[in-house]
Amino acid sequence: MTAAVAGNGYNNYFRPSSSGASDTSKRLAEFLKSVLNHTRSTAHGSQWENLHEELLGMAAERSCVNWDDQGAQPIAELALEEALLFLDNLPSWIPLPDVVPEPDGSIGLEWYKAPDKQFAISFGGQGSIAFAGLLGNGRRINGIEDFEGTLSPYIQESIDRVTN
Amino acid sequence: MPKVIPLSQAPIREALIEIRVDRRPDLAVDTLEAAHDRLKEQFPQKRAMQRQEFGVSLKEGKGQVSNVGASKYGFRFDSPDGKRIAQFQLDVFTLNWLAPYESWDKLYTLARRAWNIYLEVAAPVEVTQIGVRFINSLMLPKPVTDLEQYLTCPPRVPQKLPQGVKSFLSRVVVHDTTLGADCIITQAMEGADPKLDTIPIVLDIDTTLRCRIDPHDDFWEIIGKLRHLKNSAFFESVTDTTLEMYK
Repeated sequence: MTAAVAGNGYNNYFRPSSSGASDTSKRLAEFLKSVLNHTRSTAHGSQWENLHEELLGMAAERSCVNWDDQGAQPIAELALEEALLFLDNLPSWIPLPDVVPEPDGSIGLEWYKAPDKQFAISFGGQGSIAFAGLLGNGRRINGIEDFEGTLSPYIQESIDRVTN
Repeated sequence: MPKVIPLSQAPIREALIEIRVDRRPDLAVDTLEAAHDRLKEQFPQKRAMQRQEFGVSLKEGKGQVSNVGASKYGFRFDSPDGKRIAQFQLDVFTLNWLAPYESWDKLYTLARRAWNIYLEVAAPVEVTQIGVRFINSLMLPKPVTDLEQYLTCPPRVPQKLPQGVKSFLSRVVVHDTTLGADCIITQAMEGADPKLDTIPIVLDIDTTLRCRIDPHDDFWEIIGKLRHLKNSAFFESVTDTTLEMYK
């Protein structure tokens, strides 16, 4: 008998594989990636690909200084890389976010449900993410945590509270 | 405890021990290169690990990713035959042992020695994750009329559908509450080459423990426990028929 249990922490299904070096590990990683991409396109339809294109286009259009006519910094390549990695590892049941360019060159991903339910993550390309949110019932959170490529339980719980 | 028996021809394609860390803020990737002086007797080959950097350009109103260069994120040091690899990254240490696998003791000893060098050179702030992963390739002799003859929990197809499976991928994550570790069990069959007499099935067992440990503490007992968890997962995943093939 196999039971389904609630996650106790990080969702390791989507965790980046360990640093395998053999041809077998590389083929397995590619196989897994293709299956995960199929899962995401099934869950989100064309919205997944549209979001990727939107993110790349947004970064391209803001790749020079002063893109907002107010002295904004160009979108950092490492910030784009982090945001793409985060999206690649986003579980399929999490709604897709809106993409927001930030004047310091960071990339923001935002989830909005209501004036008192919204959550934002900012990727600056430094290996950490800044987050802030209104989770309803007057609860506010903000902070910084290391970014390891996947959703931390705290971030996932925060997004769940905003989007559900 | 599951039956754990020595396999003289274990189907291991790769075994690895991995330790993830919080790096010290001022660690530069080129600092890791200095480790080669201490490792070159067993790992004479040195290579920078590079990540492709990309720029984004607009073409016909759409963003396109194009390669503009590469940036280093670590170094790998290989044995003369390329079968043992020490990967020194900014926030990850890995010791890979590719086939032919020899023994747990040899893997453990080599990994521990290489880790001690990583610890001195990289001086990480904290250990955040420990992992033991064994990737097996089971070569099942054709014809394979019933996967349950070889795997205790193969994927199943509803009875009224065709029972011939061309490929599959199964990945389950179980949590060992005693150890506080996760065990990812992946079974995969990409496809069988009609010209070969065997069908390859990958059985990948990846055990990990998230933690917050002082890197100078002796946490290697934990690695031993992850190995036992890995063994349990492997021996419970295969049948006696499979084990007979590799004794």
